[in-house]
Amino acid sequence: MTERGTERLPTILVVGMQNSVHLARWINMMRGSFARFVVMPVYFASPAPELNPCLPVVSRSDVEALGPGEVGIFSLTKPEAERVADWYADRAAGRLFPAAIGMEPSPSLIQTDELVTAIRVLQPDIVHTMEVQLAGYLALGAKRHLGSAMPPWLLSNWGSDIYLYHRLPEHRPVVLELVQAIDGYLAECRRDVQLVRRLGLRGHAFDPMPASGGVDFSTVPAFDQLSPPSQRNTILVKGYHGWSGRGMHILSALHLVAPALHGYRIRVQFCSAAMLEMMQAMAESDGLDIAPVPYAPTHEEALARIAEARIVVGIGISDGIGTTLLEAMSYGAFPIKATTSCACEWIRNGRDGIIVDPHDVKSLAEAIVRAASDDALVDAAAPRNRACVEERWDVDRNNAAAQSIYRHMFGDARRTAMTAA
Amino acid sequence: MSRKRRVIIDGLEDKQGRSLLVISALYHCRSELSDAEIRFVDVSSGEVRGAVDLLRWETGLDVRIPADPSEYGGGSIFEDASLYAAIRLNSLDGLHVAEAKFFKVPLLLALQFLPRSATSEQLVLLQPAHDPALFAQYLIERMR
Repeated sequence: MTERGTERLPTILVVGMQNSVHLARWINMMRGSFARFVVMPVYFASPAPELNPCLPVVSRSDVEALGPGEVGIFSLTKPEAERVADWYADRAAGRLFPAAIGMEPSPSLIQTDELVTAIRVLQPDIVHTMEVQLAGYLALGAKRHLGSAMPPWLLSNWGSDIYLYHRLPEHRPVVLELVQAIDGYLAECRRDVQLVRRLGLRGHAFDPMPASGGVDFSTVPAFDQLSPPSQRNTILVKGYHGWSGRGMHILSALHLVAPALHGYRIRVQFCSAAMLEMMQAMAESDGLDIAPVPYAPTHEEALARIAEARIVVGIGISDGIGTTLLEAMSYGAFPIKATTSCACEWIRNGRDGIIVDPHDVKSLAEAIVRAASDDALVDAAAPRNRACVEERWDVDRNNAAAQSIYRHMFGDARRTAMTAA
Repeated sequence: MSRKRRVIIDGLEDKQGRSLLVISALYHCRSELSDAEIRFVDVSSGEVRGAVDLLRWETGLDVRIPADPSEYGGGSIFEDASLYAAIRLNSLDGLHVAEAKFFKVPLLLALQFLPRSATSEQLVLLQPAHDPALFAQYLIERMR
């Protein structure tokens, strides 16, 4: 650890998607005098604006020069030609990790030797991987290489990283090796804690916490400043359709009950071209007021949409909590989620929201009609849901919990160093 | 030993294809299909591959995407098949209808929205094209 006057600031190397708002929100919750944070990118992209102030770092002295609250971004220096050559060699030798569904293996992903270099140069006290299929697999490669020289490793499980992938034959052996290699495990869901224990976790499982950390509710409009959900007429649809999302299923559900939804504005986020074509067919055939909404340029605008919604619908074959669920609960929108999320750990089905089988479109359609027509249901759910997230998604509460987790991991680091000495 | 019944599913997922909806239907008839081999054709997306892997893991069904046609002796996968099923947006273009008919394979081809000249079969299947549980009922009936 580093001497800074009488202060010893530990360094946390966060391996993850540097352009992710979730990663940025987590670091923003934690940054300050408690520890130094350095981000190791998993691919080439600009850091999320929310990560500012951040500075490039290439050495231990750069890290030690970071000011309070400044975040380091490890600068990648491996020449492109070398990266491409190494990638083809790894692919030919079968050394590449399986790619996440819908992603193509690519030389543009950061490679194991680059993380090994970062760990050797920066000497972090702990490595914290956020997300599994990119960051976790990368760190697993580093641990294979470094062995006992790998710092204590905390893995944050985002969404469905393990819940889905441990069931896919190509990924299962990697997930099993990874679960047994980590020193600490931080999930979003109790469901996943039980799962990784069954899969052979040897490290410590911490109490679950949302991947996004927490929210300062003093910045969220007071509940009585929001219009009651029964007075709102927007149905907001999370339109992801692909490796997990089932946006098309939601559109089919809306089509099945279209006559009951006249008078509602149906707005669909994150639309693919296929979704747009389906919505066009629905608008012509059903007379529904259904339209895509463009990607919200700021988080505030995304939240404003949720605050206008009576219902927020998001369905997939695998999920964690889903930040949209927590945001819907914060802003009074009635949530409809799938049984394949861990929404049941936050809401009571049929009372605070509705949870449906993602393969049962008819039940989803019935849930939408119920939420659209039952004013008492949505108005009663809103204050309960707000109280729940104010308690469990609060930034101060979760900052304290996360510091406790890091302190536990620093203890592991000290024990490792003493053993090595 | 009796040979397993073979169900062939259209694996296209794009502006027209609704393979993920058919996969949802298979969850609704898993017990009825426990003695069938389910094979996906025309799969081009990783999303469908992942969903097929997950379906096999969760249901134990004999379901997969054939690597190449040679496993059918170099012949057609449609030969001796019990059903060819698909859900599409509004067109049957690109489906292997002629090949399936040649081998006298029963068809279950549903459209979500009707073309200008719709058949009575397409009218009947309009709702199942959006409702996987209902599509599953038709799938089982057509295999009998």
